Amino acid sequence: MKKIEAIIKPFKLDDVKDAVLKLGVSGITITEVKGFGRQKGHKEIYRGAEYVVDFLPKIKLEVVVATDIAPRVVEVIKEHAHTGEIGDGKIFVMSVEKAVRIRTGEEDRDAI
Amino acid sequence: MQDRVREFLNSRESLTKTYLTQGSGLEAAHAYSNLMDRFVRALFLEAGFRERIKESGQEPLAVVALGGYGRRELCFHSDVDLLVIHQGRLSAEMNEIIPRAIYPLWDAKLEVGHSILTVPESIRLAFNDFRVLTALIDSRFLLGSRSFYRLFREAFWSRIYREKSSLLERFLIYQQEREDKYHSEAYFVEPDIKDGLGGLRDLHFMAWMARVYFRCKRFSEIRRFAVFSHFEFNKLAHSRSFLLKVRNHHHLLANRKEDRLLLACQKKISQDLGYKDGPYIEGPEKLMRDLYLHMNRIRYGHDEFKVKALDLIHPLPPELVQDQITPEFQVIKGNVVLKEGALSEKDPSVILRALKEANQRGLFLGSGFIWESKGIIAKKGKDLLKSLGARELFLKILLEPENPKIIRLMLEMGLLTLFIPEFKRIRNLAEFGFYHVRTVDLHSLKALDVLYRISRGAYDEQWPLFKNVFRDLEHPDWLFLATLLHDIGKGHGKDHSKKGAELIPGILNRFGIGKKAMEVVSFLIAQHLFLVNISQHRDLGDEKTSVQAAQLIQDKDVLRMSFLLSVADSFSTGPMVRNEWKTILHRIAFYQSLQSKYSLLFCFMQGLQFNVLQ
Repeated sequence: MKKIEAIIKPFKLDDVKDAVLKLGVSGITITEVKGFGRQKGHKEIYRGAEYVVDFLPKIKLEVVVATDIAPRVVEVIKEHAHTGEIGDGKIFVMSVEKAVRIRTGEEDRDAI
Repeated sequence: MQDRVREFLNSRESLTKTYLTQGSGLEAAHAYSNLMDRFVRALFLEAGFRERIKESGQEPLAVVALGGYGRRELCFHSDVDLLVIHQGRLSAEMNEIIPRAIYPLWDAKLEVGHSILTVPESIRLAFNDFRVLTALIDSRFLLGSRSFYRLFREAFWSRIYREKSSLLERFLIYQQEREDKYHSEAYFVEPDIKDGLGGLRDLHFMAWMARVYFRCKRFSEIRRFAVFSHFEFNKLAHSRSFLLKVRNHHHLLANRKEDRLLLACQKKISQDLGYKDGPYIEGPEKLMRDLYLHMNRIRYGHDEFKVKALDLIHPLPPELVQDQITPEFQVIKGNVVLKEGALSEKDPSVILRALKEANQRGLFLGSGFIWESKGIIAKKGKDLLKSLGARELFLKILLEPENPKIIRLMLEMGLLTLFIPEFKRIRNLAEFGFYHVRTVDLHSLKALDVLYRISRGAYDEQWPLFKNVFRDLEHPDWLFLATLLHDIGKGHGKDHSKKGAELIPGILNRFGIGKKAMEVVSFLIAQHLFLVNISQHRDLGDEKTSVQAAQLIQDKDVLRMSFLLSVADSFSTGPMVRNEWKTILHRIAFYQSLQSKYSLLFCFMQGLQFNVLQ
């Protein structure tokens, strides 16, 4: 099993979600996060006063899938979160040792 | 004994069936209390209690119902609190009888609380623990020696009357603690019918105060005091009955003592109580609308009662605190009241003048004044509407809010719906779900409050931009109007923004508001979700987005108002909407649109073509 973590632009969430669900993934966790990469924040000047946003709002999306479909999921996220502009985000993939569905006690493949 | 338990459970089951379909909440509570009385008596007698009384004549012992059971306000999973009061040492025989009588109550799966105390013990306990005190205030004789119970009552009450002035603080602390706990947004969506603000506890509090400070055995006896002669007892009794009915349904549904009306249960209860989905409003929303109506009524009745009662308990010498502010009004204890005489139906506009004074000075109105005004507004509303300058005064208070409490008061007094009948549709209108924590009317007032706080710099620490934008507004009054009315189209089905915008000309015409203002307010309302939507669903880094926004909202001042309206809207909706993350996005959307406006102008000046709607 692989856990895929993607940091994406908030407005891309709907696109990415729909595309990932189409691959047969049954659950996605999202979090409203803030951060910066090479883009480094954002500055607004209103009437001479400066308002600096160090950390920009992003969405963190987490999904755990069977190892064989993980490359597909990464591909789909990459495709749908892409605008070509700075701040599009990143995707991380990591191995998952175990999964348990709390209600039934099912494990691993059955639990995801 | 087992037969008794079975008999009781059967009777209870048929009782629940009868009263869930017919009969009021109060009737159900009384019927169930009566059934419990019979059950408890039967158990004690079967445990051997009768023989003892016969043998020794007047055994100094009594079995007493406490708290809600004492009040005969027992719901189907309420606690059944019993006290055995006795004198001296309990005989060995009695020591056997009592558990024998009480254990079957547990077998019947009741939540039983019981104690065995002497008179001095029970009184000592009561004065150490406020909850015991109030439970004993509501005590009711069940069986045993009635004359002994009378002795206990006399001892208890003479101690209370002796110490009532020191008890006052504990009553007030108790209410304050409830207020602190239940004043959170979470309790708007899932109110606690018993302990929540406007719940049954507020009624209990009034009855306790009436009993302790005015010696009224029944709450309604308080009417003999002139200030309470017009108190709305019947309406309160009706509201109490409604709460009891919902509470009973909820207990049965949850199958335990659960007084907080959780979202998951609201749907089922609304169905059980016969609320049907309408074309625009769903069944659960109708249930909650009624529930808020009753809880608001109780809460406001409670507030009025408390102020009046405290006035009677500690009348301040008026000459020390009098402060004449106009020939018409003076301030007493921080409240604006009439200088002399009573309110007259002939000149109802005095109500608006008083509200204006209170608003400007950050004060409130005297409770008697509020009450009399309510009556006049209900009866003579039309005259008030027609009286000279009334609309201007009303508008002035709305558009220059110095004291947000005053606008809430105007809602409760019926003034808001009098001047803006369209507001009736959103009064107490609940929106089912976790997203909206307030009813639509209170959400609108809260949004107005957020705006007021923005203008005062209350958010400066985290969001200094808000106040700076507010300061640049050419017409803050238009924004206040749009904020108060932004959800006026709710309760009409889909697309409340559009519906709301359609209602605006009719409303503002009545106030003689100019065409330009009307257009702007309508536009702001029609588009009040626009900025929030683009901030979350459009690419803010893409110039097309901001150019399109600037196209839609061409005027910079309108863009500023639109931004502040959407901030006020989201900040007053609830914790799921109002968070830093969303607000930053929101602010970026505003900023980009503002910038784009400039860049667009710049492009035109350069003679460049810009196809913004490609």
